[in-house]
Amino acid sequence: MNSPPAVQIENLTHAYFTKKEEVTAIRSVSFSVDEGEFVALVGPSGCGKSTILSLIAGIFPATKGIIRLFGKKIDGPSFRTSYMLQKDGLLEWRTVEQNMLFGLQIQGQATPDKIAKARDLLEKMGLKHVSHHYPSQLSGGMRQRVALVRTLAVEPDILLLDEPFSALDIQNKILLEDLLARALKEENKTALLVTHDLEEAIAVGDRILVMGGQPGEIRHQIHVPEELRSLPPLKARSHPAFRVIFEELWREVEKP
Amino acid sequence: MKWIKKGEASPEHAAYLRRLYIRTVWIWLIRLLLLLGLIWGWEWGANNGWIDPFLFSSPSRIWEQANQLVQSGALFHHIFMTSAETIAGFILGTASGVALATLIWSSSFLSRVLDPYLVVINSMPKVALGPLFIVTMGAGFPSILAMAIAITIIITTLVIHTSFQSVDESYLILARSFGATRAQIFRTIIFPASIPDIIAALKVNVGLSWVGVIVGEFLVSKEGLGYLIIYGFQVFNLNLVMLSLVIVAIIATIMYQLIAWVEQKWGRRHS
Repeated sequence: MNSPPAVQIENLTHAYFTKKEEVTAIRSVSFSVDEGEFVALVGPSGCGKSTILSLIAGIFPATKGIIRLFGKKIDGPSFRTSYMLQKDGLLEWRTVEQNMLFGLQIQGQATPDKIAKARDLLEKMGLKHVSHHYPSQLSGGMRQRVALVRTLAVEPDILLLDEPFSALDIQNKILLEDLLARALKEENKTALLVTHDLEEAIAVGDRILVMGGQPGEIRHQIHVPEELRSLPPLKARSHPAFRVIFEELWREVEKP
Repeated sequence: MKWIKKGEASPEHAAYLRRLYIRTVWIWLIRLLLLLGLIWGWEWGANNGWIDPFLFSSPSRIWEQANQLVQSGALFHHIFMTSAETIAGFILGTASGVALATLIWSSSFLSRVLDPYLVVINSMPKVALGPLFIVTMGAGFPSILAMAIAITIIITTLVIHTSFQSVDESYLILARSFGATRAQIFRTIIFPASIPDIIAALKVNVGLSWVGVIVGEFLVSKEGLGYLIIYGFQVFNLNLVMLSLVIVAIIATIMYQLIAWVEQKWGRRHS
């Protein structure tokens, strides 16, 4: 028997309620992500991309539908996922090292072994020298790298990335994409990335899901060819095949 | 004069440090002169008929009064009582205010239920509760303490609860995504994020505790600086009233400075 997909979503519908109205963010969304696959979700703002990610992270329960992680239905935040947002969420009163261990501490997994691994990761990100600094002393790119270490330190099987690099300048963005792609490939991790940056989606993704409409639904999917997938994000951007995919993706996103 | 330029990086920097130092010296000098001038003017005016010393006393009369009270040993007892009441009221009022805010934060349902009660109690002039305290707790330390707590607790609760609720939402999402319990969220995020506000509340509460204690002593009229003020007023010994006011001003300033020191040490660590 085949192993179940890392993420499987069936008929997911979610509505936000207020006293005056009900706003349906997504309607009957179904898709799955295989283990080790990197899927990018793109689409105009307000189409419910982030809602899907929050639901998979278990931040709040879906109005309708089922989410399975490795075949198991979720009922809240799972230790197998780790969530990263555009806002780095670094706690200003904790040092870089304490911030990077935050997830491990919350989950009661801060063992010497895992702490050592997190420190290695920090070193790989080129941040060892600031481990005792406070977040306010770091630049935006460094802060987001610390957030990435924090996300990876809990050793998730599935990474949920909600526009994590969109506030960064282009150099930091590509640098972080490279670091992320390498870290994920080394350990065969699964990732789901929400982004409005089409180039980013092609450069890091194996497969791209195009969303649209209000309430949001999945309109189209694009498989990124193998020759791009095997390249690191910076190199992929300058590959001839990149433009072809970009134009296809552009047309799909533009469709009303 | 090397110490004036301590830590200089260049001749220009040294000149800058020198200017800064001289400015500070001037500020302190003028402050001191202003104080001495006021005291001297008061004394001179009282002795030359410009100010009625029977109503407004004078520095030398206050000093005489202080000496008398020190010799009888009563002054330090009164100072000690008032300080003890203020410090106890301040600590208990602030701590219970923070505790109450925590309780309310822990349940948004409870928070909604208690909201109108807090508003009513907060708008109530707490001093009006004085007679009630004296009847139930007797004319003494407990009543005065109750007054100091009553004046500080509700406003602390409201301010701290607001601070708890205004913590950045993205921190909460992050913690929840790691599966944090509500208690963990409180311990690791809500409370540390609110420390600057808690320290600001401490500053306000120092002043409020003094109000509570002095009013309490007015009502109880047994001992303490508030008692000295009301007693001096009743026997028309304004020297005693002025002396008490000066002492209150000095001790209150010392307490405020202590809190300011705490704030510098912990309150604004990284912002």
